[in-house]
Amino acid sequence: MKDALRPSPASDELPAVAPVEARNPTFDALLNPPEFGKLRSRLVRIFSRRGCSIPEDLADETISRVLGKLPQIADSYEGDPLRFFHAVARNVYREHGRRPRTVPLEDWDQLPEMSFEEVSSKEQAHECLESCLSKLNAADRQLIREYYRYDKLAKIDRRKTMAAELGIAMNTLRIKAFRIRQRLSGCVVDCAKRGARS
Amino acid sequence: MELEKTVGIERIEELRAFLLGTLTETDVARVEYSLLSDDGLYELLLATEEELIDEYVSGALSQSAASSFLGYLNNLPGGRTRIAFARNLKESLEESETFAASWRTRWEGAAHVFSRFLRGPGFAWAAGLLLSLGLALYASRGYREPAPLVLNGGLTRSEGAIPTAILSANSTLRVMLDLGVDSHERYRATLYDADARAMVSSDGLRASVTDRRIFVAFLIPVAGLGPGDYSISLEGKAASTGYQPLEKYALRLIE
Repeated sequence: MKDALRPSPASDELPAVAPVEARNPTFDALLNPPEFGKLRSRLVRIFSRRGCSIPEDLADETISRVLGKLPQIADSYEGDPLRFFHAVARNVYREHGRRPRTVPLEDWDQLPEMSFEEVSSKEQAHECLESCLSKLNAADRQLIREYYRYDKLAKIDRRKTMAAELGIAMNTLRIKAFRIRQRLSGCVVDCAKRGARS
Repeated sequence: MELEKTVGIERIEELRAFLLGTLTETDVARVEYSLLSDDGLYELLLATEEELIDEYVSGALSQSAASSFLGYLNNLPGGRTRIAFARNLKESLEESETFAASWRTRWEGAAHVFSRFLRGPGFAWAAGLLLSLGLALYASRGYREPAPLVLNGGLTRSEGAIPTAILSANSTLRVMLDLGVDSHERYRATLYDADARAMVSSDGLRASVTDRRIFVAFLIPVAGLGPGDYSISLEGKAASTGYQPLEKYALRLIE
């Protein structure tokens, strides 16, 4: 059962593989931190979007296969190593054989009900979010409040206005809001962990 | 991604389509490779995910889009946590916006009343201006938002003091219904008079936490209500069922 507040294993954590000594420098860069973590998390998303219920396992399988092929191809491979990773991932997906799966909305709501501990955690998460919002600097707090203030079309218009007032592109504003939100999310997780330990 | 770089709006639409599963296989393959190789585009994908989560939480996604997107989130580590966080954020920001809006309304009202003193010739005008500004400042500093009325369930007339609110003090009465446990997705609150006639009803309400207690906030417009004893019925709605009765609260309105 997925616990709503227990953080999922970080997608940047390294699986248990031996250190890589690839002779091709670009493969070498991808198979070591920090690029390794980035690559793995993106493969997880690719497999998730393709409907695979075990995207982390398939991402690890992809990386393991590339590692296995490396002695054969390292000296002769030309081009972007990411294309090779992508091609291997597509093969892994085909072998896995799952079609994209949708979740009927009723089924989503009928996933196992939260336990008492999870209900308490939900209350705690709300308190943690209030606390974390107050820890943002005034500019970031104001940006977040304004960014999420309106509904539908009014929200779009408001965000365009915000971007113009800040002198930045819409997508830049989008990323700014996203990064603040990520910090908030991380703060809430840390706060919830401290609450669980106390 | 350097924040100054611009990615066209068509790429946002493409990322949305990718996340909602509506791209062709050829386009999916192209986007997948771009996500592997382009840091800026990948971060934009993450931001677009959050936007879609917000749209799902707000009920703005179509059923098919929501179903497809939930399928993706269901597979993604931490997907449910992000939906819970998005709901939490939405509720927190809405609560603070409601409070700020009520403050603005009262300040604008006080300023309008005293702006009548801005008319008149010469010294009278100047004196009136100073007087009105002083009074407006005094009125705004002295103003306090009426505290919401907290109601505990199960109280009847025979069981002690009934929570009481003064009709003339508010145009809207804010009542906090003590819930105990947040057991349902949404709630409906209905105000009944002493003759069991439904006077005011709000549904789609959500629980919130204040001082470690769980409440459902119920805003009651008091226009048309007279002094007397009332009751509030709280019902909860689960995903696949209708509203079910949960608790009753007693309330007295006086002039």
